[in-house]
Amino acid sequence: MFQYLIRRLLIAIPSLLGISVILFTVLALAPGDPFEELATNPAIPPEVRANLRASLGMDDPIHLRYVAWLTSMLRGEWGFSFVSRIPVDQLILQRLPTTIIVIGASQVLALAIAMPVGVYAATRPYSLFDKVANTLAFVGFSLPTFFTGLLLIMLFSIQLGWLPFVFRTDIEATGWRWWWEMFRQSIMPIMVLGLFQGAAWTRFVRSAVLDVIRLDHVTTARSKGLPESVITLKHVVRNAMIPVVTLVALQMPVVFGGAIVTEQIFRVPGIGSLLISAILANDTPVIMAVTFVFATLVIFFNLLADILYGWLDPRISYR
Amino acid sequence: MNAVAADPLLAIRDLKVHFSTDDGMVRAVDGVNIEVGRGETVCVVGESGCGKTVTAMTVLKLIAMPPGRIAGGQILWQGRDLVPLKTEAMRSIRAKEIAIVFQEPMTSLNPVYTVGDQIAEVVRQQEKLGKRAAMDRAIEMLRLVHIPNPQRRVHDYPHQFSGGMRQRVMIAMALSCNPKLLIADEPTTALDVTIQAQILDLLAEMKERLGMAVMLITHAMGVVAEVAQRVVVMYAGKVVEEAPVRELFGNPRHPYTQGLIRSIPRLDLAATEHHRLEAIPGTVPSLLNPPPGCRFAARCRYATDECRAAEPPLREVAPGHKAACIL
Ligand SMILES: Nc1ncnc2c1ncn2[C@@H]1O[C@H](COP(=O)(O)OP(=O)(O)O)[C@@H](O)[C@H]1O
Ligand code: SF4
Ligand SMILES: [Mg+2]
Repeated sequence: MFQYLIRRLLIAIPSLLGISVILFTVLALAPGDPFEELATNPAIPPEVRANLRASLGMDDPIHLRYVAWLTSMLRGEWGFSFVSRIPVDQLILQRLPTTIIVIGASQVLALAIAMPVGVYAATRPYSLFDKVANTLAFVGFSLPTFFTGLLLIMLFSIQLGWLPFVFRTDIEATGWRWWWEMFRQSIMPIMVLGLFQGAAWTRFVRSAVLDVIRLDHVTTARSKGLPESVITLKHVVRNAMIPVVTLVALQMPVVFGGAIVTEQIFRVPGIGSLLISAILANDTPVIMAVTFVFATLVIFFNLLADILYGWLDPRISYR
Repeated sequence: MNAVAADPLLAIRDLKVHFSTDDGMVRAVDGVNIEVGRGETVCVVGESGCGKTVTAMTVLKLIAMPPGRIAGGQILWQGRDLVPLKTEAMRSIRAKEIAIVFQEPMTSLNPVYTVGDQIAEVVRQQEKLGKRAAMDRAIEMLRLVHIPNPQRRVHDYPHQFSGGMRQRVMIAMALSCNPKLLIADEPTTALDVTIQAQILDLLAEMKERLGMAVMLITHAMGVVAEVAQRVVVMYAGKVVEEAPVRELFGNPRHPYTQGLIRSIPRLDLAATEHHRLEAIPGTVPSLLNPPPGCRFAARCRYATDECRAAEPPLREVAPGHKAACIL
């Protein structure tokens, strides 16, 4: 097991390197210049701009710039934002907790919906409950988050005025009032993300449970005189968890992607909105670092999926 | 062992089990009578698709309802009818009174639990034993069915056992609560020929030691000759002949039974002359809309118009010997 982990981590290194090369090249070749504004500003002579570019090594050939970037990255120096001059790692660490809280809470919500609803629907296939759940899940899964997000804002912020529609980091209150305000402004982004994922996973949980429920070993369990609840939880849900947990882990990067959109709608100052604003400002060091963090997350969750899979299914052995 | 005892352990009376499908109603079991006495071994034999599995599963109410439905009849267990019982009441019969072993040892065990857990689970449920005691029972049961190294093997998962060994585990699990009746639904069909004989020997040995009755379902007449005391021959959802084993092989009355007996592979003949297995031509008719008259008529060499007109009833042709044929 330990050996397997080490091997998997070693395999991850070339993947990460490959990803960084591609990212770096694409970003370097992309049009756009962080000093665009300086160029149109008549007060700044072109030499200043050229010097600035040279001091940042921006006119060196790509491969030299990549090596420079990689070595400083490995030394733990993630560089400075072109725009705010704040160290990139600080920027990311500032933004990451908000994203993780919003994503974490929405995933908990998604699973809290998907597990019971999916299992209950699958144990009563084609019942009224199943049909209603299926339809709602289909609708929830078909509506894009930017649409439901705007819908919620229209309803709860503009029509009813119950919830703030811009996420603020500068809440003045302290103590429980601060928590209350945080809660109020987090509800909508969490709901939007959580309901969307919940709908997707309800469908998946249902089909995974349906796959297991007709297997022979469930009949064996029934022939043992076990209560129906034990059969469902121990012999059906436990087995159906193998594909479900794996898929959830594998989908986490997609969820992060979805969070970017949601953060944008609700102005949540998370890592997603950091990336978008960096892209709009041609802030290469930030773009590079954030996408690299995403890439690492993808690889991490892939590994996690593998480990969970083997942990849940004794037929898998790590060699 | 000729006549059925006056108070049989299990008496299936005129059982009808129907399945509603998209194409219509499948009459999988259509008026079946089977009795099993205490400590008796009854073989139920017939080709694939004759309703043997459905009959066995219905005794423990393990068929899926819907699409299945018990359309009529009784299942008398020690005189008490199981048909009207709710699932809750059935649970105390399952494993404790009547246990079942299925055809597919490869899929009948849950792959995510150790075999020890799965055996312990049933004794904990039915005999309210503690964790430790249940695990001890599991080890004891594995030893009983001759699994080497039982103390170590209880902690293994099903995939770490061969097919034959898994069927031993299934038998150990089925017998762990000391049932009065063991239903074995083609327990050897999925196994290699050499392993098949071992499992049949094991069943015979278990029966001798524990004294339970056995209802062995099979499609192989060779198996019947080895283990049965009484034989029930099923064809297309009906019982067509029933007799003590010697009587059945010595004096088979129904052409279907005669065909099954002729299809037994015979080592002695195969070695001497150019003997060919005589399989019954044709196939089991659809149970969707069974034709009127004798259901075997389409394959029977003696069939007459009389056979096709009305269904021949199961009638006594000799003491303890019944057949459903006009001949
Ligand atoms: N769930 C079901 N739905 C519809 N038909 C079924 C179902 N289960 C069994 N049958 C039908 O019942 C008949 C008897 O099947 P079975 O008892 O498995 O036969 P055997 O065990 O003798 O081979 C078959 O024709 C089969 O198609
Ligand atoms: S009743 Fe007629 S068709 Fe049926 S088995 Fe007897 S002889 Fe054959
Ligand atoms: Mg069968």
